[in-house]
Amino acid sequence: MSPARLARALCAVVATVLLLLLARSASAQLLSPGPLSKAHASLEGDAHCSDCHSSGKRVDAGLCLRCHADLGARIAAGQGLHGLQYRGQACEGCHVEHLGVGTSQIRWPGGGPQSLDHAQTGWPLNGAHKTAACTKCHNRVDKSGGQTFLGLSRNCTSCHKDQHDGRFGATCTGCHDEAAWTDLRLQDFNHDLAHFPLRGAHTTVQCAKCHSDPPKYVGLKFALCGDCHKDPHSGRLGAACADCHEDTKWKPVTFSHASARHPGVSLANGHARVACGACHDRGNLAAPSKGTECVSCHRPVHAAPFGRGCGSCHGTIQWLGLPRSVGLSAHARTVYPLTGKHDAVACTSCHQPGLPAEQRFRKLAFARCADCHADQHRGEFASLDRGECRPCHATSGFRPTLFSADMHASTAFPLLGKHIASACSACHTTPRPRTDLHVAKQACADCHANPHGDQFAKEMAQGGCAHCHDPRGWDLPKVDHSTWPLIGAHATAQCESCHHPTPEDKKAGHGASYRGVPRNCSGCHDDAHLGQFRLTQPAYECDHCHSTKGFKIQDFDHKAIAGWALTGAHAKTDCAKCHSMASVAGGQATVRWRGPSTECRFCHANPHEQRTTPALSVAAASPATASPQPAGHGFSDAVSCSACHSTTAWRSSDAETSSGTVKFDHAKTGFPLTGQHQHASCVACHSSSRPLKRDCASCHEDSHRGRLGQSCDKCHSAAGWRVTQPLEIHRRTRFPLTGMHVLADCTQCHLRASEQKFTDAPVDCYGCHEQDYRRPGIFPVHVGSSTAAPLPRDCSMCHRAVAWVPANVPSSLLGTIGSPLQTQVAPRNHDVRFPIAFGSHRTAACSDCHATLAVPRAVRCIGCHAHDPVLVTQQHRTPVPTDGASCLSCHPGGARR
Amino acid sequence: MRRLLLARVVGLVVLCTSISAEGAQPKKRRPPAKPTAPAQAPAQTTAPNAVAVTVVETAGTRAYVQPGATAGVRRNSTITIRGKDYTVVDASDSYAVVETNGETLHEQEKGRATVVAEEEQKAVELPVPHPLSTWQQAWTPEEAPAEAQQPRFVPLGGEERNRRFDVRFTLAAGGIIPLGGQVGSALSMGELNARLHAEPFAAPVTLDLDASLQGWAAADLSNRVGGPSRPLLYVRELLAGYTVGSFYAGIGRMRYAASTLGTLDGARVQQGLGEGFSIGAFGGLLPNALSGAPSLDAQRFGVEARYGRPDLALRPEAALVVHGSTFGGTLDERRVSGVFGLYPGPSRFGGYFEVSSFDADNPWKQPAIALTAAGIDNSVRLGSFELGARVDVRQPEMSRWLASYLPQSWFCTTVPAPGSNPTAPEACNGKIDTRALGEIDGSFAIEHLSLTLGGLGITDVTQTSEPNMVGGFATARLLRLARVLRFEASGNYSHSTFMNLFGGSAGPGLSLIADTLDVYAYYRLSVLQYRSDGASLLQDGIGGTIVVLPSSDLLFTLQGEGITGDDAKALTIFGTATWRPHL
Repeated sequence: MSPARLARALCAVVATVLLLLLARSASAQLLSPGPLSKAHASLEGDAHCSDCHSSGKRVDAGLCLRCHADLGARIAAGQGLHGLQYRGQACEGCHVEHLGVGTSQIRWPGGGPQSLDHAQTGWPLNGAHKTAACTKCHNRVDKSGGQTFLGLSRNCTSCHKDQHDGRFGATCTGCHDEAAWTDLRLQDFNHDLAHFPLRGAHTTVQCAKCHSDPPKYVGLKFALCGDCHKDPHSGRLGAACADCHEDTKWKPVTFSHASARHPGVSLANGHARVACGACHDRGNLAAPSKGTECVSCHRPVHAAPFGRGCGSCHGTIQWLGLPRSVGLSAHARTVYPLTGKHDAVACTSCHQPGLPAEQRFRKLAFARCADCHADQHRGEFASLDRGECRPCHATSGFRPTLFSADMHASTAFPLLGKHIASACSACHTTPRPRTDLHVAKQACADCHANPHGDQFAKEMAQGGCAHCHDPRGWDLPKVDHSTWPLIGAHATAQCESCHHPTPEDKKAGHGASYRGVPRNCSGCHDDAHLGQFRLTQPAYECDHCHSTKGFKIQDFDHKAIAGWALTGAHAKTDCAKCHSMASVAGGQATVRWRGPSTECRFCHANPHEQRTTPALSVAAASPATASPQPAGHGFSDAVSCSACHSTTAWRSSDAETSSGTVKFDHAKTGFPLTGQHQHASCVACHSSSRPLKRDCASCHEDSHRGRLGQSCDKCHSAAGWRVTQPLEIHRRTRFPLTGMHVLADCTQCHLRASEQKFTDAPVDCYGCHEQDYRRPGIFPVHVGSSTAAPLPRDCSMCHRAVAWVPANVPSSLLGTIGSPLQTQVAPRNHDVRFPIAFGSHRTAACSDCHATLAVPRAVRCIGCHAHDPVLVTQQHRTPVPTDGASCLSCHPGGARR
Repeated sequence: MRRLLLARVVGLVVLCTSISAEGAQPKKRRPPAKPTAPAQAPAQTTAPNAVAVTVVETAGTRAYVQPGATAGVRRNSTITIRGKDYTVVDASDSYAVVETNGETLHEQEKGRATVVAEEEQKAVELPVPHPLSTWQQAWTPEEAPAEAQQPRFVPLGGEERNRRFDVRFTLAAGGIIPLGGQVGSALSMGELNARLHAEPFAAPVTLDLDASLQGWAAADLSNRVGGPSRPLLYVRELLAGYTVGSFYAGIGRMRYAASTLGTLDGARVQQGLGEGFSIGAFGGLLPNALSGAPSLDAQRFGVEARYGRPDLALRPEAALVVHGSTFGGTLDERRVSGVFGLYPGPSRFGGYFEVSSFDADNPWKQPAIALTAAGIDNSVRLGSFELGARVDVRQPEMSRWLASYLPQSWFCTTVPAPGSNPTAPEACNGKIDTRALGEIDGSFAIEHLSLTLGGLGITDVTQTSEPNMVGGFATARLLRLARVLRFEASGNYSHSTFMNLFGGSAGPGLSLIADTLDVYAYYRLSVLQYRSDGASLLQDGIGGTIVVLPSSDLLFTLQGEGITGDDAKALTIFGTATWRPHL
């Protein structure tokens, strides 16, 4: 094969493949001759070809008539254009498709519908129909919205409106033809079908006499004879000519009494028996001279103001037996107008025919309902308006009754509260008509079930339900709740909130229990705190914190309720910082309000605690306890943070922590650090081994074993235990150190000073000065003798601590000590100034000192003492006066110096 | 023809205009025509806010319909019957009633009524409370918020002393010097005291020593009574202890054999029982009652039960001691004693008692069982106030052992036997000096002021002849004036068997050099009235105290008072030097 042939072959193959590919996507367009018309738009597409085309045919008429079945039926019946002219012909002969959406598919014979010979349809057009436009009649559309020529009837009214409303039938052609409506054929017109049938002489009257010329068939008046005929009576005898004249002829007048065509008044019935001249005294065509009114002849007998026109009721010239309508209209003007049901009652029901006429009407009793009606209630309401029906019933009917709830107040059971809203039948259960309205059961329990069981048996016996309940509603009880006053939210709470049936109540078959209900809060309210305030001490019930106003505590006073005031920063701290949520067993969670401790360390970790190595003992720091306990190194948990910190801020303004040490003003704690306390480390007192107390004994061992009390600072100073003031201490005892006792050493009296039990020392003089008391050679001899009684051992009776001498012997002892004679003549106070009852001068005579008794103050000493001036000078180491007064100035009472 | 042409031109213009207008405006896509929904038929179902009602009865001007409030037809519900509205004026559970307002309503007529919410609050049925036992064991201990915190360590104070070794030496010296021709001789004394606490071993063994070397000097020292009470060496404590857990054992000279007993040369063991309870036993020799020298004359033994819970709110502590002793080979002391204390807050309430048993032939003629001591004390702090009170009744400690050291008159009232030698020893007459003390004091302290008032009375509850006393005192202190100055003033009065005493003192104090030097001086004036003559004697005194704390291990104190006046003239002076080195 040459290259040129090979190239052509390849091009042919490529072209074939491309055509096949293109043909697959455009096969429909290639097969379809063109778009369908709008009417057949739904059949567009290659899937619908077989809807119209069958194999081997261009268009299958059977498939066309499958859709156009109405047309098929007409073709089959040989009707219409298709049935008469085109039966058996192919549809596409006249109907062409695939020419586009906007094209018409009909190929009209002659070129258009207006050119069609309408006779081919079986209905030739004549007269005015010839010139009518096709669409005047063919104005219908088929289901696809297109114009259709099918469906028209040949009746005239299918196109024309029947101006006669069907009175002349549906066939217009009886009078009209197709030429024009006005071209009538009146010779066959049946005037009986018109509104004015022709009778009598009217049948012979020319149409134009009434319908004018040109004729007028509508708008003619013919209701009265006068519409066509002239009244020769000038209206005096009325417009109803037919009352006297017949339509066959005007004369003769056919007037008769029986026909009651007497103008003005009927001559029927009673008047028929009256001779014309009885009234027409001036001729029959002239009015009677006594008048034409009824009362001109008849006397009015009615008490009711019926007026003078008797004819309004007695128009039939008949006094009795008047029509019902007359009676009804007249009754309205009587004292007993007929209202309501009375209006429909037969007259004879009240005006019974059996009664004499007088009693039947004028003297008929009607004042009371019972005059006509029997008491269906059998006297039950005899006391209510004398048994009249009116209070309860109206003439409109016995039902509904007028007996209102308000009127029920006149009964033994006034309707109050919810009873007002209860229908009568709720209590009056007798069947309708309810003539027996007795209600035998009037107690609450007769109608209402008692849901309380027997828990209110006493109250039920006293007043029934009404003892507690109000008719306004069960939920408005009038219960004396004073045993458990309802205050706060309880005042508005519904009873059922607390008194709801318990399982026990339901088991017992009654409602809620109202007795024996727990009175504490937890009896009704579930514990939102899950028992934390009731399970731990101090146990609190709800009312400790909550009031009855509501569970929400508006202003929680943390100090008053929790016993722990929120001050400083605590007042601004969120509650949850300290009170966290707690989950308890069972999955419930609540805020743990009650913490195990209110101490600072519970929420605040101790930054001063640093346990490094355990100490061996605290014996040196805590001799008081002497029982070894582990010690912390630093401030322990036993020390409250509040000892140093306030709630305002952790860091004190006095604290200086930059150097790692703190200078804390301990005086602010009420315990100023003085003396050796200044150098004591904080932990020496603030340790876990001891509670922090201000008593000295809380830190220091009481060497006195409690015998001197706990107030160490009364004797000791913080400067040191040895820094005491013995003189000051003794001033607060029975034995102040005065006189010679100032010079005594402690051990002289407190022999067991080493035990430091200072209370063991006796305080009576004799205890320490027993040897002085028993000293021999003392005068007077204190221990007594065979002739003298011992002196009292209360040394202070005579002696002072200043010195044993001078002593002041009380007079009671003067006889005891056996003093010389001069004491009996000396003044009583001589011993105070100069003892002579005892001591070395006890044996001196008065004259030894008193030169002359006349001048007792003039005394001399040199008579006995050192009368040698040289010796006196040697004794005194200096010259001294030797007169008695000078001696006594230095030797009061003769004492040595 | 022209008209036709003109019409075509106009038509063309109109057509162009319409085309341009369509091109100028973007073509709006006409929304697809929504299928016309058939008109919805009126809802046949009952609206939730309306219910069907039926007239069941008419009476008077009212008509009753059903249902009533149970279906929501309540007061103010609107009932529509035959197009006319009626308002419910009242309702029960079953019925509602309307005013017909002249309209005629017939029974069995139907209508609709609007539903009105129940006016009153729906009863809220409280949930059934859980029984308290529900949560009986449900709560778990709370984890303290502090436990989760890791604060930065903030040290307070200096380094704590080494508690394993603590030594303290104290040198004390003093004297009493008569002044101005005062009869009497001068007296001086000196003492060197050493206290030691040592834990020298890894084992929990402790050693404690408290001993003093002391001496007195006076011209008439030999003539002064109490010579045996002034030993050269006095050892208060020399004790070796061993601690394991709550067990303690000690041997040596104990300063306190028990909570209510003093020195004992012997041993003591103690075992904790838990919950603050412990029990101990002790036994040993009683030293010389005056000099403290070891002695074999008497032995003391007993047991002690102790309770202490410092962790409780009241911080209770108590001890009960039962002990006995032998002297000269026979049973001597038989005694039960106890102490207790409670510390409610900053207050204290404590007490003690001592019950002794005596032989039938005891020299003091005591009954077989006698309450020999009892007392209570109480102090209450109320803010700035503190009140204290103490009542104490006590008899002298009586034992044959102690009687061998002390005169008989120290124990009882002695009287000579009728017809006996006046100088012969006397026997007790059966009356014991039963001293009763009542004391009350109150203080008030604010930042710079401290006031103290107190009073006490002492008497003998068995003998009116014994000395008694009643007195009171008041002290006022102005503290921390200008941070360094203080001023104290006090007064006291006492009326005793021996004398009446009026006194008052006042003086300033200074704390200088960062409180390392404290100086206090005062003047005292006293008026004495001895019972024997009733004369008033004046006594003037000037005194002072100097305390020097040069460092934390040194302390110097000096105190003195000079007295002059009608009663006595003397100078007392006493000084100490303490060295407590940091080991």
